[in-house]
Amino acid sequence: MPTDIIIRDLYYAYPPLREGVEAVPVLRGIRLQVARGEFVALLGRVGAGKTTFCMALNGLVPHVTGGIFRGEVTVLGQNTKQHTVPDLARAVGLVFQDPESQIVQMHVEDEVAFGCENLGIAPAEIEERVTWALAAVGLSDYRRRSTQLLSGGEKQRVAIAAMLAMRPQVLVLDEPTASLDPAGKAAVFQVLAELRERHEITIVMATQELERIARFADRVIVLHQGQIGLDGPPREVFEQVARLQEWGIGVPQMAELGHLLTRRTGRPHRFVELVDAYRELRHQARKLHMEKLARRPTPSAAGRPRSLADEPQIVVRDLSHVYPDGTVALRNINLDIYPGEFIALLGPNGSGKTTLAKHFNGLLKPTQGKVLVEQHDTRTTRVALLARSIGYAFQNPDHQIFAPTVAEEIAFGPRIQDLPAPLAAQRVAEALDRFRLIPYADLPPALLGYGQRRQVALAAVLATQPMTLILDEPTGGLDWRSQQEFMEVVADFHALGRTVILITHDMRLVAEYARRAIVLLDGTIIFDGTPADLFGRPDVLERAGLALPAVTRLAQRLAKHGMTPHVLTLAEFAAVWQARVQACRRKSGKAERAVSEVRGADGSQL
Amino acid sequence: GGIYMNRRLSPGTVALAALLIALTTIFTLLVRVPIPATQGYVNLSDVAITFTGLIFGPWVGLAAGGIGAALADLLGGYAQFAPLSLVAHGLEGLVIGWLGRGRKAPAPMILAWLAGAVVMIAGYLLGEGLLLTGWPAAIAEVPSNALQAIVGALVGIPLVFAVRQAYPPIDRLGQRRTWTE
Amino acid sequence: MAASFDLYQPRNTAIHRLDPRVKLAFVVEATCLTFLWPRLEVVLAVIGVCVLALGWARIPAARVVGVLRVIAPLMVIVFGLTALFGAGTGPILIAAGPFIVTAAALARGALLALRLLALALIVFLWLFTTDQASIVRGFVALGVPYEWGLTLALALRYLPLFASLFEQVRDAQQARGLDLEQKSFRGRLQAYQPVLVAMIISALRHSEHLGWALEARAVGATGVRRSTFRPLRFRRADGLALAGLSLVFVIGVVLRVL
Ligand SMILES: Nc1ncnc2c1ncn2[C@@H]1O[C@H](COP(=O)(O)OP(=O)(O)OP(=O)(O)O)[C@@H](O)[C@H]1O
Ligand SMILES: Nc1ncnc2c1ncn2[C@@H]1O[C@H](COP(=O)(O)OP(=O)(O)OP(=O)(O)O)[C@@H](O)[C@H]1O
Ligand SMILES: [Mg+2]
Ligand SMILES: [Mg+2]
Repeated sequence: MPTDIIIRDLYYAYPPLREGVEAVPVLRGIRLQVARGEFVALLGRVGAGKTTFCMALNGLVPHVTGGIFRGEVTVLGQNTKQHTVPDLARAVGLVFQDPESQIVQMHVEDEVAFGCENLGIAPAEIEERVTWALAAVGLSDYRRRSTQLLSGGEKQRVAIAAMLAMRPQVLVLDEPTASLDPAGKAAVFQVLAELRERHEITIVMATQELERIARFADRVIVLHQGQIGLDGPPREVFEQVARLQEWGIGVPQMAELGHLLTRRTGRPHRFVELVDAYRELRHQARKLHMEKLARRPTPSAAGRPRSLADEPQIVVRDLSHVYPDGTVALRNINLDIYPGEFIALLGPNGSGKTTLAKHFNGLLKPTQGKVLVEQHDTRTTRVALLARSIGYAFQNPDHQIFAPTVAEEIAFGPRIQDLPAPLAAQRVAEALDRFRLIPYADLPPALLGYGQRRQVALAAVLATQPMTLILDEPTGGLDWRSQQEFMEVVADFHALGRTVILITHDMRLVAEYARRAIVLLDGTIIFDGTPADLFGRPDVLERAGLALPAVTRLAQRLAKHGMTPHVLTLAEFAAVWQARVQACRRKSGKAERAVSEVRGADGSQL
Repeated sequence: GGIYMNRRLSPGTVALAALLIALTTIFTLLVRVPIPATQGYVNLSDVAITFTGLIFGPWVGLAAGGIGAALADLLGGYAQFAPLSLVAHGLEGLVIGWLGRGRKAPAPMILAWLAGAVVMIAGYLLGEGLLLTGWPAAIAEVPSNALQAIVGALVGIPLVFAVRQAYPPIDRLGQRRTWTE
Repeated sequence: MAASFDLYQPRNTAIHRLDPRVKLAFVVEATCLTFLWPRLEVVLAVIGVCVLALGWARIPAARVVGVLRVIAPLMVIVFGLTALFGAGTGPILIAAGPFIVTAAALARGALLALRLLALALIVFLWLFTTDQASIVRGFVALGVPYEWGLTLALALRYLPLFASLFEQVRDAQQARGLDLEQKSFRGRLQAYQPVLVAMIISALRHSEHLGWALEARAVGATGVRRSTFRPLRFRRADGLALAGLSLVFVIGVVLRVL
C-alpha cells in the first residue's frame, strides 16, 4: 500500500487576529502517515484545530491563511509548501462544514463540473466525470436541479461529488455532517463508505459523530493540545474512555457503558459497538439465568407532578401557520405548556419545530388560531415585550453576535430592558462567571472560537432572566465537554423552576433531560407524552425518523434475556444491570448453597 | 487595507466582492426602515455602499455599489433604472472608497461620503433629466435621493466603527497573506 | 423565498432557447432605438414587440402585470410632472394659475412615461426568458473576464441566502428584546445597528470560507486554460435572429438619418 499522506513535525500558528497580540500555535508537532484507502476519523474538542489540520492537507494552510508554518506535509509525493492550492486540488479534495459556503453554481451538474473547468479539462471528459461523480454520491437524477432547492444532506453530497470530479486520491472532509439531520448524516456516511470500498479513496474526516465513526472508520486520530494524542483503530482508541473524557472528548455510548459497567461490577466490559455489547451482555445474562429473575414492574411513566392550581404558561389553540409563499407549516396545533416543564420538541427536518417555537415569542404570528403567553395574546403583544419572559437561543451564535466586547454582548439584553445599571452589571458578572468567560470579557466575541461563541450567545439570553428558555438545536457541532457544560447550565436554569423547550435531533439529550416529548410531523403533533412512553412507541419513532439512543436499544434487545427494557440513560442502564446481576448472583448463590448442602448431606450419608 | 485592481482577481477577492454585492442588494431590497407618520420608507443601499467604500476601497466600492444597486433595481421591478443605478451608485462607491479608504477618524469619512453623495445625486439628476424621465421628474427625485444619502451617513459611518471594533480582522480581508517558517 | 430573486420563468420556447448573447443584442438594440428615435410610434412598436414576445415565451400574465404595477405610479408621476412643468411650445390647453399645460408637454410626458415602460419590458423580457447562469455565460462569452462573471454569478447565488440571513439575524436580535419600531426616525435607524453589524460579520465570515472553497476547487490554477463544460452554441436560429435584429437596426438608423 502506498502512503498517501506524510506529515512531519507540523507546526502552525495563525496570524494574530488583532494587532499587538501574540500568535498562538494551533498545531504543535504533528507526525502522521496515512496509507492508501484508509478511512481516518479526526476527533478533537471545538477549537482543537481540526479545521486547520484539514486545510493543511490541501495547502490552504499556509498559502491562503498566512501565519507561521513549520515542518512538512506531503500528499501523494507533493510537498504542500511547493505547490499552490489549485495545483494540489488534483490530489486532495476538501469538503467544508457549511454546505452553503462551498456551492458556487446554480445547477447541480455545473457545480460538479466547476472544478474540472478550472483545471482545463476537455468538455467530453468533464461529462464523463460528472456522470461518474454524481453516480458515486447517488444523485444521478439530480443533474439539472437547482442547487438552492436541495436539502442539507443533498448539498453535502453534491459538494463531495464536486470534489470527486477532480479525481483526487485523497478526500478530506471537515465535519461534513455537523449541520445535517439524522437522515442526511446517514446518507453522507453511506456515500463515504462506498467510495472507500469501491474506489479506494483515502478519506480523512474531522467529525463529532462518535457512533458512526466506530462503525465506519478504520482509524481514529485524536487531536489534543495541538498534537496527536491517540491514534489507532476505533476499538482501541475508544477503550481509553477515562483519558478521552478527561480531554473533553466523548466516546460512543456503548464504550461509555462498558466503562461504567466495568467500574460498577468490577468485571471488565470492553465494547464499542452495540452488537458487541449485546453479545457480551447476553452471554452474561444467560450464564446467570437472568431471564428467570422476576420482572421489575416497568416504572410508571410519572410525568411532571402537575398541581391543578397551575396555570399554563403558554397556551396554543387551533394554531395553524401558512408562510407567505403558501407553505403550510403548522396545522391545528393545541398545546398547554406549564411552568417548570422540560419539553423536547422533536421531528424530522421541515416538520415545523422552529415555526412552532417562533410562535412562543411572537416572531411569527398565527395565521389561524391563537397563542397566549402568560395570558398575553402574541398577535397583539410586541416581540420586544415577549422577549422579557421568553428567551430564545438560536442555533447559530453568529446571528446575534455584534458587540465590541463579550461583556457588552451579554449586557445588551438587560440594557434594553431598562434594568437599573447596578442590577444589569450584576447579571453580566454572574453570566460571565457561570460560563467561565471572565478572561474573555474584554475581547470581541466574534473572534472567539465556535464553542465559546455559543456560550456567549446563551449567556446573553440567560442574562435577561427569562421565565422560559427555547433552545433550537443547541448542541450540534459541540464536543462532549462543551455539550455537558452547556446542558448543565440549562439544567440549572430548569432547576430554578423555569421552563425549557429544547428542539433537537439528539435522542440522548431527550432521554437524559426532557420530561415531556412532543413529536411533530408535517406540522401536526403526532405524539405528546413522556420520553419513556415515546421510546416504547416504535410506530411514532419510525414515522418521525427518530432513532433511539443506543442504551435504550440495547436494553430492549436484552429484554428477552432478563433486562428491563425501559431504560433511557447510561446511568440507569448501569444501575439496573448491576442490581439484576447481583440479584441473580444472590439467587444462584442460594441455589448453589442449597445444592452443596444436599450434596453434603448425601456425602455424610455415604 | 483595501484592494487594488489586478488583472487577475484572487479567489478571495472574488468571494469578497461577490458577497458585498449581494449584501448591497439585500440592504436595498429588504432592509427598509419606515419613516414614521408617512407612507414612505428608506432603504439602506447607501449604508451598504458607504460602508463598503470606506472599508474596502474604490474598486470593491464600485462593484458593490454599482452592481449591487443595479441588481436591486432589476429584481425590485425598476429595470429601466438599472443602467443608471449602475453608474450613479458605482461612482458613489468609487468616490467614497477613493477618498475614504483606511481613514480612522470621522471627519475624513464624512468628507468622503459627502463627495460620494453629491456624485450619486448629480448622477441620477443628470441621467434621469437627460435620458430617462425628463427634468421635472428628475428634480422631484432629488430630495428622496438626498435623504437616502443622509441615511447612508447616519447609519453607515457609525457602522464602520462598530464593525471595526467587533471584528478587527476586517481590514485584512481580501488581502493576500504571506507565511513564514 | 428563493424564487423572488430569480425572475427566470422556465419554459421551453424558441425565445428561451435563443443564445443569451442574441438576447443581449436585442436589449441593446431596442434600448438604442428608443433613445435614438424618441417618437411615440417607435416606443409603442417596441412595447408591442415585447408584449408579443412575452406572449410567445408563455410568460404568465401575472408576472407582466406585476411589472406594470410597480412601474405604473412612476409613469403617472413622470407624465404628470412633465405635462405640468415641461412647458414647451405650442397651443396651451389648460392654464390654471402658474400651471400651463401645452400639447407639446403632454406629448412629451406621454413619450417619457411610455418609454420607461418600453425599457422595463425590454429588460424583463430578457430576464424572464434567460436563466441566471446563461446570462453570466453570455457575458463571459462576450469577453467579460471570467473572474468578473464568477463574481456576478456568486452574488446572484448568495442573494436568497443573505435574504434569509437577514431575517434570521433580525429575528435573533428581536428575540433578545431589540425593538425595531422606535418612535423617532433616528431611533429606528439606530435600532438597526445590532442587526446590521451581526449580518455584516456573518457575511464576511461567509466570504472568507467561500474564498477557501474557491481555491480548493482550483479557481486560479496556474498554467491552465479554463475549459467550459457547456459552451454556448450559436445555432442557425440564433444566426437568423441576429441577422433579423441587425437588419431592423440598420433600417431604423437609416430611416432616422433620412
Ligand atoms: N482564521 C483564523 N485566524 C486566527 N485564528 C483562527 C482562525 N481560524 C481558527 N482560529 C483559531 O485556531 C484554533 C483552531 O481552530 P479550528 O477551526 O482549526 O478548530 P476546530 O477543531 O476545527 O474547531 P471547531 O470544532 O470549532 O470547528 C481556534 O482556537 C480558533 O479560534
Ligand atoms: N420563511 C419561510 N418561508 C416559507 N416557508 C418556510 C419558511 N420557513 C420555513 N418554511 C417551511 O415551513 C416548514 C417547516 O419549517 P421549520 O423550519 O419550522 O421546520 P423544522 O422542524 O424547524 O426543521 P429543521 O429540523 O430543518 O430545523 C418547512 O417545510 C419549511 O420549508
Ligand atoms: Mg472546525
Ligand atoms: Mg428548525
